[in-house]
Amino acid sequence: MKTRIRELRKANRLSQEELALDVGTTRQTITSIEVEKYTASLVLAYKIAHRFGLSIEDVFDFSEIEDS
Amino acid sequence: MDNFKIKLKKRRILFIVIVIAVTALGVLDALSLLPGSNKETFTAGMMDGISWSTYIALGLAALAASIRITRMLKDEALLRKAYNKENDERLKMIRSRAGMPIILIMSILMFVVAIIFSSINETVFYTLLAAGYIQLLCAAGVKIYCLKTM
Repeated sequence: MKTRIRELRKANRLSQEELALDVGTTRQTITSIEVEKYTASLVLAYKIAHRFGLSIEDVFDFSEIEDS
Repeated sequence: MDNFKIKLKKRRILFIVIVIAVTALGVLDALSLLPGSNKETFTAGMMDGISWSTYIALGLAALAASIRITRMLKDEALLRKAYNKENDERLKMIRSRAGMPIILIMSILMFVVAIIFSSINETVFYTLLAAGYIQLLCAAGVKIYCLKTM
């Protein structure tokens, strides 16, 4: 699933490690989500979106799901 | 986080008990006080060597783990990282795909039974040891594959 995490991280000058610590996950998981290898659970997606002060739809791209 | 600290302290106690047990067995063996410590033939010596290398590996792994836990308990940043790693949803999924922790428990039980059988039946000893190692290797392979692809 496509996400805006990398873009939002850079805009907020946040490293993967810092974001991982804030949302209670590992740096590797953030990397996997960014490169679309892993789809975050609803809880993790909520935590990430909440960290940036946005809604889940603003961070994660659901267009593929809507199209199918 | 407090529950995690308690969990870590319990784990550290378990690891320290393993280290003490392995050290005690080593001392008893060095003093030739252990029953069935037979190194007269080549096969018996080899079985004894394999058993002891398994013991020592277990003891060293337990020692390293207890040192790591002690460091974590003293450093809040390390503790937080460890907590995140333990509760990370992706790693949890990978661990479950690799059959952890049941594969690890089964392998340790197999090694313990193999060591008990080392003085009774040679075939059972080798079979259990090989099965335990292969099981661990397969689990490690699946884990590495999942870590690369997920």
